[in-house]
Amino acid sequence: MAIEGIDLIKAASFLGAGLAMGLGAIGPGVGEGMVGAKACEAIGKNPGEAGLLTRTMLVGQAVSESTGIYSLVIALLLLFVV
Amino acid sequence: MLNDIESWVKVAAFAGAGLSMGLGAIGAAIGEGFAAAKANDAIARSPDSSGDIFKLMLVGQAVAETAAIFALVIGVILLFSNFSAAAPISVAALLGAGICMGFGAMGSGVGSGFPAGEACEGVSRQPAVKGNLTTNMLIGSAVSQTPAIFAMVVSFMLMFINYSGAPLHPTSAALLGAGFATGLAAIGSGLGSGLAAGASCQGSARQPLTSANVTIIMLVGQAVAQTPSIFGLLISFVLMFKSYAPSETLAASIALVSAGLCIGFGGIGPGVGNGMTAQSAVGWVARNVRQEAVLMRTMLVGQAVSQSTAIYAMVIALALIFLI
Amino acid sequence: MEPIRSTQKRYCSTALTLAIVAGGVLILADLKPMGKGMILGTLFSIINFILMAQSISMRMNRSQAKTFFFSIGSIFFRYGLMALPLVASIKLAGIDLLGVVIGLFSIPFVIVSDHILTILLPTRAGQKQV
Repeated sequence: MAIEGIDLIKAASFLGAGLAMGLGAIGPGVGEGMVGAKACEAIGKNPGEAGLLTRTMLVGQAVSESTGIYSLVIALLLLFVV
Repeated sequence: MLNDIESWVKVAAFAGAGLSMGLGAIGAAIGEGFAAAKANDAIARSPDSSGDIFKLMLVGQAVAETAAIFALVIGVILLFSNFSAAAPISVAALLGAGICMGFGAMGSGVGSGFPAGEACEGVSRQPAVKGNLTTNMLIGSAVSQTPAIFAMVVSFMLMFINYSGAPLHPTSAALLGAGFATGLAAIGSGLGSGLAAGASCQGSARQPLTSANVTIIMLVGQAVAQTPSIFGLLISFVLMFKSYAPSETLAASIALVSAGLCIGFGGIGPGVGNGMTAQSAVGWVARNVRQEAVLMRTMLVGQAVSQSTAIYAMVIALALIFLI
Repeated sequence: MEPIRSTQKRYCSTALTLAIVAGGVLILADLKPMGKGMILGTLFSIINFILMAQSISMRMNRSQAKTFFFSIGSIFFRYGLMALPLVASIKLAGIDLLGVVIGLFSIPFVIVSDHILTILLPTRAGQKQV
């Protein structure tokens, strides 16, 4: 197969997009799982505050989600802009 | 240098067989190491129940090693079958099959060590509940094998579907990508399901009365933890069955491999994360069974959010396949 | 190792009976290679189970790292044994590969279904659990 400059750039950016989103999803996935685990623990200990704890959990997860969204943005940029 | 296609197909088959059997055995051995360490502690704590603990280990290991036997079956078929259609595309298909089964067996092997270990410890604490505990452990580790079954299905398809009519260039990359997608995504799901199953064994040993509730929430948690591997399976099917226009460019091939890598790696994190959430929810249902409903709800909300990153990965993978 | 022996006897005999019945039905139904394969696979599954029981007592009183290497060795040894029927079924036309594969999973299948039946059929709950 013929490998030219533009083809190589395209190929590298596709590989970059796949790896950016794939590896970038590991951290937030595990992190949000930890947040959920601790929230379940807290609700088990103190069920009266379940509403507040769920809200706090969602805020914490949303913050940790942001790195996943950064990866998504970078992957989309690599796919469609480069 | 090997120049003829036939030797390259052989090389790919041998490499695939090695990966499949090697990684499968390593996963099972890590799980067994964990289980045996826990069992040692348990026997030290209560030497009287050593017979029960040995029995649990034996039964648990027989079920936990299924993933390794899947890997053996795929490995032996790769080694000894005569893949007569020595088309160049078989190189990618056979390598993909080995990668898929090897990584896919790893997570399940490690994961089913957790319920076995926790069950041994549980029997040493509460010898009276060993019946319930054995059932719980077996269901938990049998469900943890599901990602490995997905991987086996994909491997069989990669080995036995005849792709010789398809255009060589993007298709061989697609088959390699299909192997990565299901194989890597199964690691997280296998581990995560194992975490949930371990917590359920621990919980039903400490609070035997809540055993039924614990089993139910464990199954729900495991089902959600398996979603990333189902995403991986979906992407593999798309990669295997889409028909591609022949293309000699490097970019078209790389895009399909990266689609597989993307959902594969992207499935690991959410799988483990979902498993951690389920682990904690299962443990606390055992301790505080009156809050079962609210714990189940919180677990599902938490898991859904953690699942979203796997969905992003799937979106990117689909974009790589269809839009490029 | 008396308790282990009784567990072994129970599951091995159930698996063997099932395999002989299923294999016999398949042979009568003119699927001879599949029936033979299933019985052969089950035999090797039982051998694997017995060897696994032997390895468990050898694995005690070691550190986790040592157990890992011991387990790897024992898995590869048993892999070698279980590969025999698979290779035979690939090389010989008289034995079906699918039958052997199904047979190799008979022990885990019997163990899991035994416990699931205990949950589903309340009459069995009173019986002695193994």
